[in-house]
Amino acid sequence: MSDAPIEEFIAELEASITAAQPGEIQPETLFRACPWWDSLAVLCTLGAFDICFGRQIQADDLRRCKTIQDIYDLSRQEGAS
Amino acid sequence: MRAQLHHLRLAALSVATGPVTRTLDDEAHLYADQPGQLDRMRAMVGIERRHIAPVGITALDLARAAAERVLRETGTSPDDLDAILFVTQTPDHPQPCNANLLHGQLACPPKTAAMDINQGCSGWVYGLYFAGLLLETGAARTVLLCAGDTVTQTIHPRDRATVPLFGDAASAALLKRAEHPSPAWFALHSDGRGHGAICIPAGGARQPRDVRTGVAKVAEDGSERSPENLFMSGIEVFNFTLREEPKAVRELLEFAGTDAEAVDIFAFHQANPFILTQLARRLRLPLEKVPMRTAREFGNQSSASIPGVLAHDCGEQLATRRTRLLCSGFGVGLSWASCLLNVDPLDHVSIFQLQPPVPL
Repeated sequence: MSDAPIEEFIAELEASITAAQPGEIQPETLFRACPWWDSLAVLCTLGAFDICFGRQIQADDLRRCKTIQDIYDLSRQEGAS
Repeated sequence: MRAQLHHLRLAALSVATGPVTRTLDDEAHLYADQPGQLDRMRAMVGIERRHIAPVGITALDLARAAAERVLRETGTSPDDLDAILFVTQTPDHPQPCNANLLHGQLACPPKTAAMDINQGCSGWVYGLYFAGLLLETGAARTVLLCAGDTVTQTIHPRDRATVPLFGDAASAALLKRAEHPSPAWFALHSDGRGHGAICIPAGGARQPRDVRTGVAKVAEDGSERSPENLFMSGIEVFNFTLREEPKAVRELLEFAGTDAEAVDIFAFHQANPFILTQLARRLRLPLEKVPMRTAREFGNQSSASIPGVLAHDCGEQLATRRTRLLCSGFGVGLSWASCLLNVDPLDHVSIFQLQPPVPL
């Protein structure tokens, strides 16, 4: 089970993805279409997820995500490493 | 595995860096189609410039320069060396090993044992442990531990994910048997299942070089590389680091019966400031105890990066004050290794850029 609300996860993302404007990251954001989404944003997302939930996102799982909510929902899946 | 040693003394250290300086702006051509990417990398990754060695200058050349300086500055004769250990993954030849070549260049006597240790970013700690073992048994009283790589020569020049991260350097540490026992704690780890995360697929016995292995392809992220080039999966390496490194450091501190507050310096492998900041945060370490200017100013120096940060960021402290030092390296293998030791003021510590060869 996740131990951080999505607002906290988004706050972590906003703090580390400095290219994103405040308020630009929302649960329904289709992140791949955003100008700030690049290989560095990927690492920031992995880092934010690890800080919030104490575990890592696998590359294949991230590939299936479309929205920020999708990434957050990975924290509620059983069996993630 | 983990172990405690009692007779390891770090006596002197020198690091030679590649003769050519490249700034992040020098790589702008790689990101012509990605406006703002260079600024984002500068702000987030934090590597400003790198010292690199052009083809023709090897890790052995850099290590020889560092070794000669260490021997000269400490008044040590090659006859005094009981062993040379050389940590590298970019040796001059498949065989013989770099340690043997350096043995010849320094004109060491036949009694001086010589061997390479094939490890990368964790390699300095691995090397320090095996040098410490030689000193522990009393078989050796003086060991020269060299560590270094020319990783930039393995990277495709248009691999924009990897080019701006790495520098070239090699180190030489003079290690002596401590007359008065002083404990040092080590923990060495590996995870061979993760070997594909950082790999040069071709050029060894499994996939010898041929006309096909040199052909580069464009990857999904726009980077170019061939099987003869270094491949690094940023996601896998980052996940590995977050998963294993904080745990390894905590376990070592517990093994040593101490805590982070009692440690003066956390000398991490200088992957890049982004990763080092992430580690410091997870371990709740004050940033002043986690030096990272070496990563910023030289790039990721592979097996030379821990001696690099000791000589560059911590040189003055190590030359003048007794220091409780934790070193931890992590990377290719996958492999990670940490140690905690007390370091008395060094007899010599330096870092210098190899002078470029005079153009013909």
